[in-house]
Amino acid sequence: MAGVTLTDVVKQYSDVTAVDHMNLDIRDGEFVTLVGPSGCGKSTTMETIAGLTTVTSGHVHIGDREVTNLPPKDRGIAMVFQNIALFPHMDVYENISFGLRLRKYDKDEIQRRVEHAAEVVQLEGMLKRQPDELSGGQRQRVAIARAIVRNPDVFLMDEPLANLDAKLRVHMRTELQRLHKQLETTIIYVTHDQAEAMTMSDRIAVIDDGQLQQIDPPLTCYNEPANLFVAGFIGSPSMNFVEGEVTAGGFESPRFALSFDPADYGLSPGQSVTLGVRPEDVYREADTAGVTDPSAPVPMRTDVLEPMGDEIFVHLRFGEADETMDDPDAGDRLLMSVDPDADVAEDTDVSVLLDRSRVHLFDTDSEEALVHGLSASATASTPDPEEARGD
Amino acid sequence: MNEVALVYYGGGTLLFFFWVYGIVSFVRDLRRTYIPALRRLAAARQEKKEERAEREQREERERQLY
Repeated sequence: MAGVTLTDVVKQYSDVTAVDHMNLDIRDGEFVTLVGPSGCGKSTTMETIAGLTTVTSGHVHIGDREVTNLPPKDRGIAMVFQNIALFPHMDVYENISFGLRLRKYDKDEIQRRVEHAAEVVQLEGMLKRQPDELSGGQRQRVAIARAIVRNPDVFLMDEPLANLDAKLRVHMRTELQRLHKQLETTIIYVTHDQAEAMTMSDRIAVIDDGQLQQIDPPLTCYNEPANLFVAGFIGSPSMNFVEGEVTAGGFESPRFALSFDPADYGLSPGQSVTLGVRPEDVYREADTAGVTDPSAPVPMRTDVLEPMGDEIFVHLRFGEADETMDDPDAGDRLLMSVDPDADVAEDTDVSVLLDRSRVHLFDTDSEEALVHGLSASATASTPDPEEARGD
Repeated sequence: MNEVALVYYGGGTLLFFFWVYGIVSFVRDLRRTYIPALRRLAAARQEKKEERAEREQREERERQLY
């Protein structure tokens, strides 16, 4: 077992910087997920760790060894790929033992390790089957067993569940968690699926445009996002954002205001800020059970409802004020999550409030987080829209 | 100059014109069409060869991780 450290790693492809001065410190035995949108550089980051691609500059350490210029076979790692890549002409036993046979291991040792790995991934009794006789999940387990037999310091997994159906993916998620608990090995996992990242990881590293945005435990990324990108990327559906500015009385936008003392949060009047609030922290005035610190109610109008079974997503518009906006789509809508049995209908007036303790403020220019949660003392108010626009 | 000589020299000049025209056209086609096409073909073959080598190298590196 070993930790992995990336120090100022850059990977440049002609005019594209895939990895931009990446610094990562992954601890021994940790399950870290690299997550981000397609093309953000997460797979390239993993490939620099694996040795599949050479870095343009920077250093990669696995344990206390510098492996920056070592070939993959000398790095003490095993990797599970998205396309599984089993040899179709080999049976399960031969596929799992491929790496060991390549390294000229003793026959008895190979058999012992293969049987142990098959037991870990629950493939006993299937060792003589050909890959085309296995289901997608079983094939993926063979690929994982092939990695386990190597007894590597670090497991790398590049979207290993991406080609599986939704049900199997959920099942394999728990299998991987169980595997991590059992092996206690460092696992670095790449995915664009934030549900996988949130449920399996000790920490998640959110990457955008080749740069590390935040690396923290999943709930920290969810509750205390470092910037607007992380706030918008983590959580489904996304966080609501409303642009406004800090005034002497707190936050003010053309739609609504929240009062607080800016000095308490190190903010100054006139500063452009973006308010963020998750759909589950927006409540109907009639249903505020569990809200520790509600804001003053804001009149809105329901638009479209999305029943999901266990909850309903309600798209809200800021009432008749729509007609006064230059761009009715910009920051003038909120998404609210309500119980499935809630009495809501489309195109009706509804009074909503926010849980102030769950509100976030971001600097609109730098996009960095400024405040996570407002304290309980102040109250919110709905400003006169004319006044709020400065007319 | 009698008529036979006129036909002889006239015909010769005509044939000489098309002979030279053919050579000039061939040289021009060679420079504008055939040589660039051959160069493109060679470049494409080289590119394919490099891609194949790169792919094989990548596969070899991936196999080291199995």
